[in-house]
Amino acid sequence: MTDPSDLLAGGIRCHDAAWLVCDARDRSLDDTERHALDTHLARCPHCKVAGQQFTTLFSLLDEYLGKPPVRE
Amino acid sequence: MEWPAELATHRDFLRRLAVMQMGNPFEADDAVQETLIAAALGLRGYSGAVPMRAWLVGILRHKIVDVIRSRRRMTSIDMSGYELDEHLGIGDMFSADGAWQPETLGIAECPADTLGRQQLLDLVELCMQALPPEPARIFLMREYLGMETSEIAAETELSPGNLRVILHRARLRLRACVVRGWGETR
Repeated sequence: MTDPSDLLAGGIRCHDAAWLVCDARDRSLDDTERHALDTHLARCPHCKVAGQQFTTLFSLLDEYLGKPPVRE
Repeated sequence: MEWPAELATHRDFLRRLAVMQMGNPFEADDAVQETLIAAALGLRGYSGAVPMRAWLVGILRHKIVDVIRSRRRMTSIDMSGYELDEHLGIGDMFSADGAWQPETLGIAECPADTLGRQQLLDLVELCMQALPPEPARIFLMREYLGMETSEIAAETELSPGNLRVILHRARLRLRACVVRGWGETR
């Protein structure tokens, strides 16, 4: 069962965090969004896993589509 | 026409990608043909700084964008068969209170030790092919053609909100599919 404190880590839910991770592919997150996402990812073990998965997926997707690697 | 071997080996991949993006096999064939012609003419200038496939994918991207922007429109995108509140499997990923359903998360680590890079890329393509075709085309307009969301919205006559939903759902579905594929290698 999800710990209620993780549920709203950063003031957002996992569903919201997933939205922000995906939105970040299309636009820059503002400071409030970035802080909320970072806080949630730091505290929610499930979103940490999903975040790793999205990072790997996007890297593979970029390679599949012939994009140059994104420099950190 | 006989293509140089180093180009011919990528032809089928380019066609699959072009069909996914353009939705019309005839338009896709034209784009791939133009890509291979351009590549054959420019082959001496290919430095090898990027993999051949990436170089060709880049040329194809420009050809497809040219088709769109010259107003020689691609086969129009028809989203009428897709309800934007349709879950398409997304609804199972989160609980009613917006938390991840743990059983849908899968493994965190990509099994790079058991799957080679090409196998991982093949898995991505397989999962791309599994997306509904019209949302896939919109997704690729953003991810492959690099079109800004405002331009995609204008091109497809989708509202920015609906476009955001389509892109989000495609990414969620790809994640789920790819992670399932990782899990099946264990």
